[in-house]
Parts: sequence; C-alpha cells; structure tokens
Amino acid sequence: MCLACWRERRMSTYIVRRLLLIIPTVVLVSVLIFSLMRILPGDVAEVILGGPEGGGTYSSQDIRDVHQRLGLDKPLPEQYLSWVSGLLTGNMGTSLVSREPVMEVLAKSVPVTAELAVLTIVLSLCIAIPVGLISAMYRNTWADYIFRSVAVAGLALPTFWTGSLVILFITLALRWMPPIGFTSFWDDPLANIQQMLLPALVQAYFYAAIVSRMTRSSALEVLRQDYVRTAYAKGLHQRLIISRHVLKNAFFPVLTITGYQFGQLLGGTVIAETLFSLPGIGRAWVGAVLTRDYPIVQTVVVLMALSFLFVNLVVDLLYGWLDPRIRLNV
Amino acid sequence: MSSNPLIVMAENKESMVATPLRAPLGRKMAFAKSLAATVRMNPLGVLSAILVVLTIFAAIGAGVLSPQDPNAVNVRERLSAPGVRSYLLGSDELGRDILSRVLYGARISLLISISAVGLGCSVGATIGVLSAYFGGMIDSVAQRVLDGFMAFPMLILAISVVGVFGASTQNVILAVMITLIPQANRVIRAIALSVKETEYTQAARALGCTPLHILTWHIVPQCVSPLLVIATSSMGWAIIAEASLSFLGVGIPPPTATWGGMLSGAAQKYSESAPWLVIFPGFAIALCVFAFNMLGDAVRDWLDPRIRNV
Repeated sequence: MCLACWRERRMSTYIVRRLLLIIPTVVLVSVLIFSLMRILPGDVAEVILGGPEGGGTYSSQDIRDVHQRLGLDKPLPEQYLSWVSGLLTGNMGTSLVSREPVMEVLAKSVPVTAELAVLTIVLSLCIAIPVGLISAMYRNTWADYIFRSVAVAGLALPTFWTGSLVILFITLALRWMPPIGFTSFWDDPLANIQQMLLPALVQAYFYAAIVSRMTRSSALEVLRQDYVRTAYAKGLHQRLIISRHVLKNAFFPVLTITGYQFGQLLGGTVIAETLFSLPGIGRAWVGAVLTRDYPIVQTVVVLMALSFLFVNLVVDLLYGWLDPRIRLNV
Repeated sequence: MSSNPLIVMAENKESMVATPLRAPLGRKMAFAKSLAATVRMNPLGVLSAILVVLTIFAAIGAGVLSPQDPNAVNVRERLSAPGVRSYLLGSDELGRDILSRVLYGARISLLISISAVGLGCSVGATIGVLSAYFGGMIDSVAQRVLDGFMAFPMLILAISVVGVFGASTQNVILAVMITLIPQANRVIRAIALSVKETEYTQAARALGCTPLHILTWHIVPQCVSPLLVIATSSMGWAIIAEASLSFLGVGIPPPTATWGGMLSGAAQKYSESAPWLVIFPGFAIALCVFAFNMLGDAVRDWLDPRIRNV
C-alpha cells in the first residue's frame, strides 16, 4: 500500500473513531441537562396557568391537567427516552409556553447567533494575528508595549461594559442609533451589517485580546528557532520569513484557542444579544430557562454541545492537515 | 467568554510541569529571595497585589467606608450627577448612592468569586489527583463526566445552574464553581499523572508506602503551585461570570448591590442622561479583574522560574 493511501485510510478510521467518541459525551450532556431541569422546584405548569403577568389563579387539579396534557406526569426515564427519540427522528417537540415548534424557534434565532459568532471570530483573528506578530517581531519596543497593554485591558473589560460604553458613545457623540432588532443579511445587507458590526466588534475585542497574547508568545517561540535564524542568515526577505516560517508554525496554538473560543461563543453571545437587542439563540435560551420551557432548554444545550465537539474535531483535523508530522492518535 | 485558566496555562505549557527542586538554599530563604526578586522585576505584579488588597479592604470595610446605606431610596434626588449634593459618584434612578453601592458590590463580587474559585479549584484538583492516582474505572468515569461538563459553554452552564436552583448567593457560588471544576481537574490530573511516573514516587511505592502517604507527601505538594496559578488566574473569570449573571438578571436578585446588576435594566435605560450609572460599576469590575489578571501573571512568573526570563 502506498503511503498516501495508508494515510488516507488512517485518517478515515480516525474521523470515524472521533465521531463515535462524540456520542457518549452528547448522551451525557443530554442526561445532565435533562436531570438538571427536573431537580428542583419551579413548574412550567405554574408559568402557563399564571398567565403572561403571573398571579393567575388555578387549582392543583388544573396543574395536574396541564402535566397530563404536556406528558409531564409520565415517569422520568420515559420522558427522557421520548425526548431523545424525538431528537433523533428530527422531531424536537414544541415549546411548552408558546406552543411554537422548537424547530421554528431555532430556525429564527440560530442564524443570528451563528452570524454573530462567525463575524466575531473572523474579526478577532484579523485583528489579533497581525497585532500579535508585530508585537513579537518588535519585542520590547513601544509598539509592543502599546499592543500588549491594549490586550491586557481587553481581558479585563467585560463585554457588557464595553458594549454599554460603545452604545453610550455612539448615541451621545455621534447622535446615531443602529437600527433596532434584526434584519436578515439576505433582505437588507446594509442594515444587517449596521446591526451586527458593533456587537461583533465588542466581542472581538475580548477574544482578540486572548488570541493576540497567544500569537505573540508562540511567534516568539518560533522566532528563536534555528531554522528562522538560518533563513535570516541566508538573506531571505523578512516578509517571506514571517509568512512562510513564523506564521505557519505559530498558528497551531492559535487554532486550538480559536476552536475553544468558538464553542464558548455559541453561548457567550447571550450578553451581546441582550445588550444590542438581537433575537439570537442565547436570549431565547435564557428566557426558556426562566420559564422552565424544557424542550427548548434541553434541545439548545444538546445542539450547543454537539457543535462544540464538532468544532473541536474540525480543529484537530486541521492540525493534522496543516502539520503532517502530527500523528492522529485516539 | 472567558479569561480562562486553560488559556493562560496553554500560553506557558512548561509552567505546568512539576517545578524542580530548588538549589541547596534553605527552602524559606529561596522563597523569600525569589519573592524579593519578583517584586524588583515585576512592579506591575506588585501594583496589582496592592490593588487586590485595596479591593479586599473596600469590600470588608464597605459598612464603614460607604457614605450612605446602599439601599436607601431617595426619589427626590434621583439621577444626581457625580459631585452634586452629597453623591460623590452620583445617584441612580431611585436616588441610591452609587459609591456606596459600588463598595457593597465589591463585597458580593469578592465573596462569590473567592468562594467559587476556592471551592471549584479544590474540588477539581481533588478529583484530578484521585483520578490520576487510582486510574482505571474511577479515572474513566470521572473524566467522561467532566468532559460532559466541558462541552457546555461556561456561561450557559452557570446560567443553567442558577436558572434551576434559583438565584441566591450560595447558588451563584455553586454556578461559578461548577464552571471551574473541569479545568482545575484537567490541569492537576496531568501533573499528578506525570508525578506518579517519577522515580521518587515509584521508589516510595517500592518501599511500601501507603497510597495516602504517597498522595500527601509526593503528589499533592507538586500540585500546589500550579493550583495557586490556576486559582489566581481564575479570579478574573469568576468576577466577570458573577457580574454577567447579575447583568442578565439571573444572579443575586435586587435590591442587593451587585456590579453586574447596577449595569443592567435602569442603567441602560437612563445611560444617555446619566452615563455615571454605566461608567462607575463597570470601571470597578474592570479594575478588579485587571488587578487579579495581573496578579495571576505575577504569581505564575514567581512560581515558575524557567519562564521568568522569556
């Protein structure tokens, strides 16, 4: 068997094994969130019967009726199995509170969060990698000090505060308000960008702070290597050294962190969504937690965990693709 | 969102390997010397330590230092600008003194973050050490369960916990703590695994030492300094997490003064006419997180001599 075929086969076994390993974790996550949602007081029946304002009157018979209607009177294992089998067959159930199918809730809110998360990651990489590289190349110069201080500050500034300050500055100083709510990119790209850019930038500042520190330290590591010195000694142009040798090799830790951050962002956008009134999945999810709308809470968490694990798998595969020296071990 | 210890760790992988025994100097002498050197070489670390101590004093002394009762409502003097009348940092939409609320907010913030970090790191480290030492089924089960926790975005995990158990001080501590356990576990387990394979641990086992003796005298001591590093660098995240929960309205319920709570609701509504509502509590969070982050870096530099001169 030739080497390429061997690698390819190894690769596919690796992918299959990793995909199989995702299953127990997701099952565990689903059990965790399912039991968490049922441990303690607070009952969706009370939320439904209490009406939108709360304080509606109802008897314990009413509560039993609601439980029966929603299937909450069945034993827990049975409830769990019916939820999971629903998930597997693509039937995610309906919201207990609004009676809207979970699928529709997701279809409305997932694109918002996905766009916000992708935009944030792209912006933060575009800012952080050049900044980190320049910091490393001109170590201990004023440029390095400025970039590092800005990054260190970025780690300490919570998004909800930077976001508030940005909104404050824009409304007070520029007398401008981004259009409220959310417009799909396909309907009106300009309005969409106006709405998404600020929250994405605010989040990107925080993430770029982490990534630029990472880029700087790993680029410093690479710059000390013998092959970089050799490249300089043989008179290679600096631009080539940086792009061919340093950037490529310094990129691995950055990739890991980015994958991890992307997973965190899937839930972390809830703050930016609240602040900038974007109807994303994070806000919908927090609302569902407060009303104990089990189907939404559970399904969203399982989907988040799935995408988190999937992104991490993709990162690991990218690793193997970028650096053939890495052996993929399970 | 996280200024997450794993990331800090990953920036300096070597720092996670057991620290080699320091030279023939007496242990105390070496400790004092390296501390002094750190102070000289790392003025920023000293500054951050001072800031942290000041914050702790502000939190403890909130009762004495605040000019007013943090919950005293005075509707006639609502939204006073800073410096006007007796409000040094202004008053909020109910006429409560912002300075007093920021001081009392420090109390809540530190209480929650210190307890959560203390408990989370100890529980995580305990699981990590036991899991590494005993291996086998215990190890696999514990690690798979914690992997499950790690597949949640951290903020989502924290919100699930307070959302389910209800918002109270204990539950917010529990929520923040749970997000810290998997990371402390992962780092400490890796160290314990490498220490377990060292010759001196194997020698101890060969000499017939009990597992308890090996754990307490050989493995745990090697985990102390990394754990200290994880703990200090987790403080920033813990503070931000508590503030985020309050900001989203799922943290400690009003009228208790919390930094995150001061930034939500009314503060957003009135921010145009009364920007001090947004500026001061946020500044308190940023300063506090900054101080703990810097302290974390300084502690890491101090405990790991090898990365000092990088």
